[in-house]
Amino acid sequence: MNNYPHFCVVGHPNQGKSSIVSTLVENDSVQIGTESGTTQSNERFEFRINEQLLLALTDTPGFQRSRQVLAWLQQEEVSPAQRPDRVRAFLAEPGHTERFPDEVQLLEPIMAGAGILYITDAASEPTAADEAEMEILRWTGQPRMAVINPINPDSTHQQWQTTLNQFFQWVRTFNPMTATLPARQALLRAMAELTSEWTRPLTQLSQQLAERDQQRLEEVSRELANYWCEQVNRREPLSRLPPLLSDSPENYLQQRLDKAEAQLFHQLAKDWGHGHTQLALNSTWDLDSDNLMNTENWYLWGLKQKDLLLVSGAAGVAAGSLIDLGVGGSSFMLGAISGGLIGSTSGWWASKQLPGKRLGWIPLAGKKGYVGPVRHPNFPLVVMARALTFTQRLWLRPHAQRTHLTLQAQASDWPRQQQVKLLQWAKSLQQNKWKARHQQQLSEWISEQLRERLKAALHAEQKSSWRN
Amino acid sequence: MQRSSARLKLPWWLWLLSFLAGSLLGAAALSYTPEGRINLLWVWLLWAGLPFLGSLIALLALVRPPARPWITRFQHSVSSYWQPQPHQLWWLLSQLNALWVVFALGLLVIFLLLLLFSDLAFGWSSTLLTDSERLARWIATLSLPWQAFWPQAAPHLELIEQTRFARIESSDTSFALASRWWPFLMASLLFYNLLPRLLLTGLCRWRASALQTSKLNIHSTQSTTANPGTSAPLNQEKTAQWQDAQCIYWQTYPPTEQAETCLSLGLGNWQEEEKAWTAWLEKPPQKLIWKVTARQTPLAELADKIHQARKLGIRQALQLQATSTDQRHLASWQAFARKHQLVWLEAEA
Repeated sequence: MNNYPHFCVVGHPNQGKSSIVSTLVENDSVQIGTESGTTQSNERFEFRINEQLLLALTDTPGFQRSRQVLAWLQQEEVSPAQRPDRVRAFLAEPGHTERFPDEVQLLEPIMAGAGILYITDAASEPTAADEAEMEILRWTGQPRMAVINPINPDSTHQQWQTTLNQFFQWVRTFNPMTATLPARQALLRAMAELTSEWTRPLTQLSQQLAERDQQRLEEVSRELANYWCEQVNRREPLSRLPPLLSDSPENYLQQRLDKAEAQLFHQLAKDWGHGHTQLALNSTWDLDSDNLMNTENWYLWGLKQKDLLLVSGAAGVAAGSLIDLGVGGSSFMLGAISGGLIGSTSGWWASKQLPGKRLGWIPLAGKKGYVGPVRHPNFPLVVMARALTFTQRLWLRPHAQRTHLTLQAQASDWPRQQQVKLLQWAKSLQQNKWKARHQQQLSEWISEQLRERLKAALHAEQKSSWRN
Repeated sequence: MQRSSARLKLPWWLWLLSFLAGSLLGAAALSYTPEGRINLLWVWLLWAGLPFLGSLIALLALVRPPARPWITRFQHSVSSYWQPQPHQLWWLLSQLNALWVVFALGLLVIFLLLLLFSDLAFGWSSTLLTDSERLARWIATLSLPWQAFWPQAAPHLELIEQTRFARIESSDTSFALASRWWPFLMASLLFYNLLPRLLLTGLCRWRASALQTSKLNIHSTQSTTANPGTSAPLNQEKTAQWQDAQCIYWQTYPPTEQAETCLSLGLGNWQEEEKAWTAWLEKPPQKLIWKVTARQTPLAELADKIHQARKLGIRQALQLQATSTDQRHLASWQAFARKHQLVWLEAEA
């Protein structure tokens, strides 16, 4: 047996083996098809932390000639203790790789020490082929567990349960199309009980998944806080307006808002193993000029008014310090002080001049027009509600799902107090009064919102995805 | 989130600026006083004392690092609202310390250049420190880290007494004696400035890397080949055209009235079925309908038999026994029929 837990996911074709693997390894790139025989060769996945291998999972093609294989195994009378050797003899027999490619592929890792996760959808009564598969697996002598994948609600569970109990140590029901972390942890716990040697790494893996989710919650909260601030305060320079949208800056801003949202959502999906998920996002912010806070800034040498004040003050201090140095410090820093004052005053005076009047002749001075930010009072609430809803749906989405992820516009259902809090933060942002502590508070607020939403959803879900 | 980690890089000019600032400070500290001496107490304070204090403060700050270090202002790739993830924060802190390392290297380079191309005569001068022996004790304590392997860099009492200078007294110290201070300054620069910052850089980088590697990593190590499927069209015909065909039931039993005439396979012992199948093939019909149950999945076992029959020139069709509500089974059987060039007959109720 391997010194790390290794499980082969085996079974009849088209029973959802790859769906279970996809959900367990949190990766939607695992090939899943409606037609049988989508998986044609083994695919191995590893769960590692600090280079320590906690679990290896191998997705296999289904049994295709199980009755024939069992007939070969039973050609010779062997004692139960010799059955694993008989399976090894089957694998070593010349020509079997060509005659039984699927069986050889799936049995090889098992005979190398892997445990067995036998998957069935229990959609119809067990056939002779099903029984042959289970008998072959029993002959391997490896730790084994059966998992019923309830694809059809009207399946013959009870009949299967009785049959499976005769061949497997554990029989459990696990739905990969709905399972979130608690259900996956329950499956891992059951796998951990198959053999005492694997209990520790699998328990550790289960804990690591929980810790990882906790870290992920903190990370995504910071990311959403950053995104919300950017969206609420987004303004775009009119100079960047594409020619096609030159008469409609509102559409341009809307495009930029949509793009930023799509970018965030796609990145989140990719980071969480949903890189192949198709997102259907319909933006809801219809902007017109009444909803926009259009602004104008003028600049000198690329500096805005506030920057100009600071830079000219600093330049004055630096120049004055040179004078102080020149007189060997006998000026008692008067040079630096007066230089700073003169510099700041000049900067302030320059910042009050409108270009085109007194300072228009200076190169690199000019006026810059902006569209945005959006000032509609609902905008900050809608941005946050959409981001939270999307994050929640993505979080709860099992990786075996291959449907489009649609985000409907969600009206925020927060209490008035929470809405006021968000709007106050939005106001601080748009009035340039945003501080680091506000950012921190916003991240914490998002984290709390997500935690509450997920807690309720996970609790409700676990009962439907897992049965002992 | 990995979104920004790949783009976190300090601008090149910041490194250059740090090096130049270090060089400028080094050059300024080594400027002679009007008495023709470089006061090594000043130099030590600027090159080793204050930087060491800075390193200690930086070390204490690592206990509770800031949420957003000031260095993020130079990250143009991230927004002004961006907050680093823990591993990014430690990476940024390592970069911040690395900037100080570059600053110290600037000091070191300018010191070496001035040692090589000019005469540096050091002395010490102080109003409050009058006792040479006390200063010697302090300097001996400061020299402890390198005393064992670099004794020349640990000044003795005689050097300290003979290199003291004062404005109102003319000094008759020889240059040979005054220049003997440079190993001490060099060692101080290395041990109290460069080394602590290097250690802090390493510590922060290790922490960043540990946070990265302690993340659970799930990855595929052996890729699979997916079934490419077939694009061949489904060859559908009416059941009426197959009235004269023989039937074989696969994984299902024939109705009672056909039990005598129709073969049933896929249900029992493999060897017995093989005998029956071989016997059936001895009198091959022109047409054969495989009647399969819609709730089952096609297997290679059936495909093998289809190939055997085809070799004998038998035309074959596939017919589902009952309509399945499950699309995956219907799709599987249709794909099977396409792949093995079977005629598709409408399902029997």
